[in-house]
Amino acid sequence: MIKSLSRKKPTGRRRFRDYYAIWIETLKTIHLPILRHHMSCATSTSSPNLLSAHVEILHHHFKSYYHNLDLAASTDVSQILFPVEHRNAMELPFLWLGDLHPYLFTNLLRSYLLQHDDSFSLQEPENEDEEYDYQEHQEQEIEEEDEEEIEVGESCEFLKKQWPLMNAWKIQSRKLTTRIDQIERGLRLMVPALMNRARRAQAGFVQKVGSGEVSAAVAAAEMEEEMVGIVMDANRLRKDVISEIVSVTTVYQAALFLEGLAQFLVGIRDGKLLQEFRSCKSPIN
Amino acid sequence: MTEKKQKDSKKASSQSKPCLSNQDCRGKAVLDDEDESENFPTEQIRCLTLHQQNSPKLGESFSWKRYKLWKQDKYHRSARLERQLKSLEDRIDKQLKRFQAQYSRAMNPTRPKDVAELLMPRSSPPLELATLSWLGDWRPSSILGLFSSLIRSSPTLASSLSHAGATQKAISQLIHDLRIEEAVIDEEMMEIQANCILRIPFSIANEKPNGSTLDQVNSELKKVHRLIVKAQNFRTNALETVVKKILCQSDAAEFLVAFDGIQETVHQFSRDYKMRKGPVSVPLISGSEIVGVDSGYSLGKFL
Repeated sequence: MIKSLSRKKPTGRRRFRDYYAIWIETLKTIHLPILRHHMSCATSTSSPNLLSAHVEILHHHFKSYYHNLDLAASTDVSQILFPVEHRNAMELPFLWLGDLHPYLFTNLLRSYLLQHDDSFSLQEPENEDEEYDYQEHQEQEIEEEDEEEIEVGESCEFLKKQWPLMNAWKIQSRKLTTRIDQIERGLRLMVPALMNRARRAQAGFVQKVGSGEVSAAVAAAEMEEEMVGIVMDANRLRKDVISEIVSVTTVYQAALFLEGLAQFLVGIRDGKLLQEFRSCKSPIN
Repeated sequence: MTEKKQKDSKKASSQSKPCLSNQDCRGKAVLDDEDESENFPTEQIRCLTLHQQNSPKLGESFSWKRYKLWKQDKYHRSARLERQLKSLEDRIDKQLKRFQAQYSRAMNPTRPKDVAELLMPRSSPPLELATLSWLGDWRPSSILGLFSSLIRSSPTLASSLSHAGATQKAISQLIHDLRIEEAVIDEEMMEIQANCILRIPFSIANEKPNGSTLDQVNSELKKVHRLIVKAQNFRTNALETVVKKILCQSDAAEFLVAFDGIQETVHQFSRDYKMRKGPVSVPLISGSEIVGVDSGYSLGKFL
């Protein structure tokens, strides 16, 4: 698919660094403000459909980033694994295989649920809804994955009547936590597997070169091929976790989740903060 | 005046980058060896002590004077050998120190922004980092891995080890242990990377950064730095184990040459590779219409 695409557009490339700068700028100046606008309106007057549409747009923005990250990785994976050109010194230490760690997404989601869990226990339990969720969850657990997705429109109607945005995390929390548990279990299998593959690729390189089996350049080419696969799998993992979260949460939850994620990405590139960071002279050791 | 300044600064820069000057120094060291003695190569050292060419043959008559001469000669030769061994040892130590200095960069005062540089040094092209690096430099287990594959491929190295089989086994065990240590560090690093979004307070829509955000960033980087130091200690230990504990002098020298040689080769072709590839790029219009088609595959398998 990627090949046929690049055949269509043989010319006209831009540096990934520029692409990422524009991507972040769009996120910061267009998507995030609009999302926030709809989030603040949705609870009172404006239609939640607008919010849901914008959640989709923002979600798409992330998907297109991972798509481009894949394209870039297949061009030169080493520059994606060590993105010193397009990421700043504050971001670099927090990156795993070239981008955010997939656990970060589930952790962010969990933090919202946990925050709410505390306040929830202080309030009166919403028995009716909890029971409803639980039953629904039981019924659906055996069914197909696709059917477990929440109908965005449906839940919006429900929310519009009863739940303001600030209570977004109360709803369907049991079903949601079960789903996050599942996602996390999947990640706990796949993340170490990717790390192992990366380690083995490097060990293989040293072994081949050390024993004189092949020249260093040939061994590096073989290792590079494996690394492309690893980075693409890591990207797919990240993209899938975001998609899973967006699909399993309500539109308000998804909006809050994506807002938090976008704010982190924008915040860690903030010009003023970065300037302060760069001029910081005091040693950390 | 200005020339002198330039020279001084050149000197200073070459001193501050021990890793870059490695090859030159090695080359020079080899030249020195050749100047000093034609008998230097290690195999001959062993031969000389065992079968002296001038040793008297049985049944041959020789005078007391000849014997004295022979003894004197023997004495001189062994004194020279001793000096050579000593100088080889010094050179190995020097080279080892150079690596140790490179591996202990993180012990120097480190500013927050230096953490990224320690993890992904700009002096190394990305491909070099991708092939060899783990937290900024060689994987400790890879150092032993290189040694292990050198033994397998080089018969001289293998035969010189007194108990090759046992050594091979001990190395496998060491590699295994180091991999566990690496995995522990990986795990801790992952914890930092997975939770940075919660610990660094960007989530609130604050327009201007405040001091606490920076403090938080720095405290996370401090943790990363601690892991870098840990990794560097394992690296140093791995190299010292090979050079000082497992190998005899001559083999240690051979190993260090190979170790440095691989780094230099990888550095060279990674630099060429980067020049050839240029900065990584993506198509201007990257077909966002196909985005989303393939999501939900891999996780689906596990859920």
